[in-house]
Amino acid sequence: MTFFLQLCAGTLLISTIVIVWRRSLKSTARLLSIQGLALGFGLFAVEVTRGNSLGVAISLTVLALKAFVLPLLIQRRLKIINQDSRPSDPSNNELRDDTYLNPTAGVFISALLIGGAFVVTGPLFTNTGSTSSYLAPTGIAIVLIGFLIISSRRRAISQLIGFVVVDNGITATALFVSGGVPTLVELSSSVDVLLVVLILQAFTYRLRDHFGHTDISQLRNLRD
Amino acid sequence: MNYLLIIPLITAALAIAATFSARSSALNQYAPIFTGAITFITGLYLVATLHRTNISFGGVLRVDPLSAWMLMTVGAVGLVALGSGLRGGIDRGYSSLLNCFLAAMSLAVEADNIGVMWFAIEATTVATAYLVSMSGTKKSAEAAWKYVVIASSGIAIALLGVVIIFGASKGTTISWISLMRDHGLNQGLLRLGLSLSVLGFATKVGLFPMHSWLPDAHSQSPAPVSALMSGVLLSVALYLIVRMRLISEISLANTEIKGLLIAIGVGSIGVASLLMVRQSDIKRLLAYSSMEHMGVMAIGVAIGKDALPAVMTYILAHGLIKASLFVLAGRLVSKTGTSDISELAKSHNITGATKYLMILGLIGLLGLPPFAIFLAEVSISINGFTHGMAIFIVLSFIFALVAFSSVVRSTVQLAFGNGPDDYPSIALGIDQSLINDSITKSGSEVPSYVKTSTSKVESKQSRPSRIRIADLTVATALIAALVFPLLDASSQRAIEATLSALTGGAR
Repeated sequence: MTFFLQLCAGTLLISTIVIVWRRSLKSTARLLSIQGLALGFGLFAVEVTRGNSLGVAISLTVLALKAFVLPLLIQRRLKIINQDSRPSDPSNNELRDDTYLNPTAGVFISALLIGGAFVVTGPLFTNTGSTSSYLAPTGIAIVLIGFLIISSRRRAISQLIGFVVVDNGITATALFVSGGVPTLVELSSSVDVLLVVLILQAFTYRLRDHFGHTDISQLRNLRD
Repeated sequence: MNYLLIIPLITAALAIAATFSARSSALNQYAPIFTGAITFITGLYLVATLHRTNISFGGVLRVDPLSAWMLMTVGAVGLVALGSGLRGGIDRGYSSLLNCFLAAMSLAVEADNIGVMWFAIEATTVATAYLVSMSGTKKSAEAAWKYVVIASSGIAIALLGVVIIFGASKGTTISWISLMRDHGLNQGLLRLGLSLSVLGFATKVGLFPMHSWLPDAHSQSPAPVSALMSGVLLSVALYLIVRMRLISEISLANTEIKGLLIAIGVGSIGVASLLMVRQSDIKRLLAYSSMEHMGVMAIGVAIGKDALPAVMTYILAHGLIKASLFVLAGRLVSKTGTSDISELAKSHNITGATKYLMILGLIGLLGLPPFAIFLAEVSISINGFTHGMAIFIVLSFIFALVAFSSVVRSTVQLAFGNGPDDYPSIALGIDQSLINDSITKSGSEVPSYVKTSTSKVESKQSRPSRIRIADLTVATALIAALVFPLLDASSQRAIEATLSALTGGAR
């Protein structure tokens, strides 16, 4: 059981770093799927050992949402963008995202964030009544890296991906610290993330219609 | 008795179902107003009966006097904002999103489970995202994007905090009442969790440094939505911070949360007042003023439970006044086609009831004596001085003075105008808003006196009664914000009853 959760934490951490490193949005969507699988199976395993049948059902729902529905939504969106974009202009290739950080700097900052998360919050996660709570800083590190992705990328769809990474990090923290938050909260938060992702997706169309691009750094109409 | 709690939620659900089945334009307009009214009546009844903490529906919902007070505020402000601001001819989607918005806010104040509170606050983001971008302009798309990204990120931080608080209770409970009574919490994790959730919910309150969505979203949304967001959404998020603050007071996290709230409170007042100085857009001015008032409230929350009655009075009075002002400003903007204060003043469109109600509202917003905001601010200041926070109170006073001067400047400009008097200031009726709606929507900034003078005769006869009801609603709201002794006494009782129910309930 502990080994399984360790494997889950490792998978999550590595896939997050690869998301920071890769600029291709297609492979990012696949990596999100891997993260969702790791999280969903982690939750599933915890609930099975507890013998909580409602919890098992919820964990399977979360698995389906995070591993299949969200990545598929992002992939479908990418496909539509790809059809719309002009292939003749390579600088306008929307399947690759420009970041303010080069891959090396991104991975380096991620390493700092992971180290920082373990050094700062590691000592807090003791005496929590859970055997896997020493893994919880992994979740916090993933949240921090998610915010790094949101803040360092230029395209609207990347912010959406960063947002999903942040949510995965929170779910991971909940999983490690206490074997998952109460089922009601777990389910409602997953549904909320789905809704926010759907809304943001609809807004990327609207931004494209209005501005002709989805470069967030050029949204400067409203300033004081 | 406990089933009263579900009435606002059921009403909203039924109202949505009705709007989707009946396809009536009038129903679309009145369904959200009805939900607001029911929420108000339920809240008023719960405040009046003042019964102690009651838990219903398996611990998901809870009523204590504090949540009853907030439920009443949600209903009252909803009634004012929608009753006076909502026009006919809205579609089903708009109407049901408003209903969802009201229901989410009711759920947020009725929930006992912190996770459900979080869910409700996130649900308000989901419901308002489309409302902000309703006008379909370039600017509104940008405002909506920023709003959803910033608010959801902040709320994600709050979720991390909630998850860690759950860890602090060793994975046993997430109920607010249980957390208040549980003395075996892991203090280290509780400190981290409370700080993160206060920081996260502060995003939704629009406090510094996560405030940048607030002026954009408020200035781009339709008037009733701005009124609701500014009047209650911000304070419902603040109410969650109040709940976190009450947990922190009985734990080791007291100093951190206090320091955090003082820092973001003073920061918000400072940033908002400085941005108000050169602000020429009336809706953005009102939005920054909300941020400034929320900063003062945050300082009140930082002081602790002694200042909470004042904060509760403040929330209600500010909600009523700000909702009225946003509705009136929206009326002016749709009539004139511009939201620039000096252009509004020049256009000579500010006449009759709109003018006097607006001046009255701005005086209330300034925190001048007859209004409850004055009492609340004085009470927060006195409590601040007695709790050893004099330096921060003085600092806030200095910034608030800057904000005060900005509001006075625009009040004077709107009241007396500074435009040239070379064209006659005809008392154009209020009803021209209907004609000018199209001008506003197309985004052109044609001075309204050019367009409206031709059609003023026939428009003046159309639907005068609705406007009068709207004015009456606004006037009632402003009068309600004037009746301060009553408000203060009942909010005092609400806080005391809530706290005594917590300490007495364990016996």
